[in-house]
Amino acid sequence: MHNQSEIAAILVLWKSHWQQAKLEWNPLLRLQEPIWCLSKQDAWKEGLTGSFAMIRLTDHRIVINLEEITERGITDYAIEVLAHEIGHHIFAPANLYDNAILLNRIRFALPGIEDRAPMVSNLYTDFLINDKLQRTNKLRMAEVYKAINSEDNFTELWTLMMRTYEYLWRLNRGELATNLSFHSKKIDADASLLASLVRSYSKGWIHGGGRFAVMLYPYLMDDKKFEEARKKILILLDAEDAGKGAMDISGMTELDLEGYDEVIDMRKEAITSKEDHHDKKDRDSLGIEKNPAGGHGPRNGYMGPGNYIDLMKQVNPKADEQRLVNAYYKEIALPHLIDFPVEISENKSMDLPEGLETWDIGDAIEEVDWLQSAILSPTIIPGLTTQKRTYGSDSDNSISESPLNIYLGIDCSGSMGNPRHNFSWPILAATIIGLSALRAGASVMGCLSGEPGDYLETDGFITDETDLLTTLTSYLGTGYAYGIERLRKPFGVKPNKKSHIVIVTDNDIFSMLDSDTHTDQTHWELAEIALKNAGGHGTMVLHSPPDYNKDLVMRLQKMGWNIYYVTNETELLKFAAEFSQQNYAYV
Amino acid sequence: MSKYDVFELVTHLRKCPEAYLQSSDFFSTEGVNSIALVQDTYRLVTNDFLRNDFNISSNLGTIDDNHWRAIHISTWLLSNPDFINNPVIEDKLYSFWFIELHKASAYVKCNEWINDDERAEEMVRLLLYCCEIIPFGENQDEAADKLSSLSSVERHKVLKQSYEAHERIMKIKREMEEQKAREAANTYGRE
Repeated sequence: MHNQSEIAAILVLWKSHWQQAKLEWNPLLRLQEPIWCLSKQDAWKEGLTGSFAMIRLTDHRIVINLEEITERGITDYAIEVLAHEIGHHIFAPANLYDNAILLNRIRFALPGIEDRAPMVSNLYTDFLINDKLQRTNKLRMAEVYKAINSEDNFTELWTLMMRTYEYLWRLNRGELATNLSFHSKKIDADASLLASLVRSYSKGWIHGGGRFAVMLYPYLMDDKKFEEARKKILILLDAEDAGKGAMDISGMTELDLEGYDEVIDMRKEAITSKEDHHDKKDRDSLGIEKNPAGGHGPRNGYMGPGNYIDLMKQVNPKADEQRLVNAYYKEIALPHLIDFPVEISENKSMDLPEGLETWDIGDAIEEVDWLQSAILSPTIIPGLTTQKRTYGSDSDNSISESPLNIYLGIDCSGSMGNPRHNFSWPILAATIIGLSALRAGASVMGCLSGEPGDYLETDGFITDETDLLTTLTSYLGTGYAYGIERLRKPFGVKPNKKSHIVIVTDNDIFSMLDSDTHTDQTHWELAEIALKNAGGHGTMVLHSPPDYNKDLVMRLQKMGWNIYYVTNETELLKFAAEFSQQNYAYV
Repeated sequence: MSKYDVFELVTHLRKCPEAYLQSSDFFSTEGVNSIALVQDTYRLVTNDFLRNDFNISSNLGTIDDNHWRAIHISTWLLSNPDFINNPVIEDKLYSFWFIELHKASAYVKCNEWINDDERAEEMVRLLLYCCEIIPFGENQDEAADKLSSLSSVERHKVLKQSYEAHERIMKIKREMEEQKAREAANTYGRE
């Protein structure tokens, strides 16, 4: 335990080096002074637990634990430590988006152990920053590691890190990797490759993440070894939670094909380096998790929802899962939404008599109001007693058309996949229609139904996007079909405003229509009444081959239901886009 | 200037002129006459410009172009003042050029000897090792360890082993995942 006066003196010293640390990167750099924590308790309150420093990309802050720094004996390296932390802010990862991209690429290279990606990302960016500071800025980064090193720290992973620095900075064996018992030819070979990787990718570091992670994979794959290594390396992890508390980061759902191609094993590259590669694309990307079809969703161009949620929770460990699912489907739906409606107003105006003024010679003769002139004076003197009427205009700018509301009923029975785990076409279709309707100014009611069993619906027709998406992206997995009974609440009696009804289901709906209601009214009758009361039109999207249950389909059509067949779930996207255009894209 | 300072020799090596990277051409029409270059280097090292009986490989046909170019580059390194008029290393050069450099050239492309810091240092250390010279500021063990940690031959061997081991593990993982996916698909089909 160090006394407070000692730590206070160190605070003064470190504060005096802040400007110099910023100058190491850029004289024009504007960054708030770090949050100086004088005790471990203070640091803990700021979220700094394992290391002596950390960065937060969310509020662009650096947090320094001066008590830990004093204990570690690195009080003399203020510029080195501060410049390193600044480096995370302006060099790597620098911002939340690049941080997320890097994490994603590293995850590609760590199949089965993706949970280790934040640590790998932190170590990779540390290398990039430290190498720049040591070799270009001539700071004493090696000395900092010498001070941190203790015999207890060493594991295979730590040795690999230290040997890599020895290769990078041409240090003798054992200067940093002091525990020689962990040295091996394998670590030497890997460290030598890592050193060349750090140098090669210092300018385009985002492209080296995949290769770096592949190199580290063998050191992280064993759970027990990893846990041990992590405990020791915790002291170095200053950017692992850099994105904690971040808001949504858009653009992450699309499959990062470039990142997949960069998951390359440098060991293989090195042992085949002399072979000519006429076509660079021939280089074997491990593409470990690459789906042969390319991905999920439209054009197979998106990552799966489960993968997306995992990634974004690594970017921001505090992220709310429901919010992420909503963001996922919304982002994929966006290109298919209707354009924002543009209001074109046609001025319907009419002239209203407003008052009188003198008609003068030179005015059009037909403008003379003879009656008013005679009332003013029986003697007509042009320009003196002649009157003319003035008019004002009354215009009407309002549009009389207003979009119909929409009811979205989604079959969420056992045959449906959980949209959080697997990409769901019905949910994407519902999202496109729902968000298009909201954009056009309509209200939307969403209902997931898997009956007999359970259902989940919005509180009537709503205009809140989050509530709608939260309902649509939930999951039931009960029963066998959409429950026709759900139409009773919104359309049992005629609502104030007309509405479209869209029900996405499959052939099991006919079993539901035929099922016993234990009342006088059958489900068929309810379906007919609901459609009539809705006042718009109803579409039943059937995942079924056309002409299947032909008689029953005709019965529905006679009631006024449109039937839209999809034989492949991807056709739901086409339906949703067309439906939105037809019903909500008018101006 | 310290004699046999690795850093200084690497700096010298990296300044190797483009001309040394040309192909080997014994008739010296388009490339470099390798035999002449090697003999000139012998003369420079021995400081005997009248001799012609230098030790040169008898199997010149078996030396590939990449190896010849590595030899060309090494002759530039040997033009450093540290090696000029140094007759004791004359009989060590055969082993350096035609045995050690031959092995290393199998894994290093000739331009890497100049462009890559590590490979440049490897050539310098290999030459010093063959000539039984201990680099400035190091002892014998340190020098041997540094050469060993840079050796392309050893590195290739180790990387091959660890790559193959890694591939085996990844193959098993892939197979297990495919098996899992098949089982999941079957479950869905049964539903």
